[in-house]
Amino acid sequence: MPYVDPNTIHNPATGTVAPAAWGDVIRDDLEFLVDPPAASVFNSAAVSVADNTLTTLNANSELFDNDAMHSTSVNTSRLTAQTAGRYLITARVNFAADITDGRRVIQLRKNGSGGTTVSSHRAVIDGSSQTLVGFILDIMAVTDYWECRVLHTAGAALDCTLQEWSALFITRA
Amino acid sequence: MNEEEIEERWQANVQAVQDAKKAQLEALRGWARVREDAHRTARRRDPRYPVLNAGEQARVDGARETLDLARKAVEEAKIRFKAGEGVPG
Repeated sequence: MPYVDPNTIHNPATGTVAPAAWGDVIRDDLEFLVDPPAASVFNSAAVSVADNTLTTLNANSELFDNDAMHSTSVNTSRLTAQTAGRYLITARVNFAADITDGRRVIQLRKNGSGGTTVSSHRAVIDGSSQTLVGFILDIMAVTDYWECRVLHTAGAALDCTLQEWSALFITRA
Repeated sequence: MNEEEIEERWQANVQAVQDAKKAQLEALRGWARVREDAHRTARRRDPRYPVLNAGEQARVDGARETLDLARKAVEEAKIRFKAGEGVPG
């Protein structure tokens, strides 16, 4: 449960015994502080991404998710706020080795519209794979969600792996 | 399921989590209110020995049980969201 102002449950007065409900909400609030909403998910395999096509990456696996921010079966690309607040959203994507010049881009998109490029680099063309990291800070209302999209201009389809896709609650908004 | 149905299910499951969380908060406030009322009544009845009678105690216990069920409902809603299951009822 998100933070609840204990005074909305019981307003303590000197000499009175605090009711159990007040103790419960203090405990819930402390639990929330030591274990705030956080999710880190990933895709366990690479996906083929067409040339010059913004592609949303799905995540089929979870490292952790303590607030049902991610579903492993429906809209698996999304990290959804079930608790309103300020969040740090981060993405780490690996682009497979390629020897063609071009761009490698990570774009984050909120609620299915627009998009913010958080990482854009020239391709490494020495035959090694390339990992890009991007992040964004956002004020999220409940049901707001973010997705991670990638784009490359390798000239042909290229394997991409969503290695880490996370949302971490920082403070309430 | 087509894309629209998937989106509807996702929305319904997100909403179910939100509704369950609201119900949990209400249950917590309800428990506090019921307990406060019961103790106020007991104090009024006998300020020197303000003990809840069986009916008052049952109401407090019932409100606490409602809170426990509401907590459980939040966890179940989260599990349904993660699994992409339909919202019951």
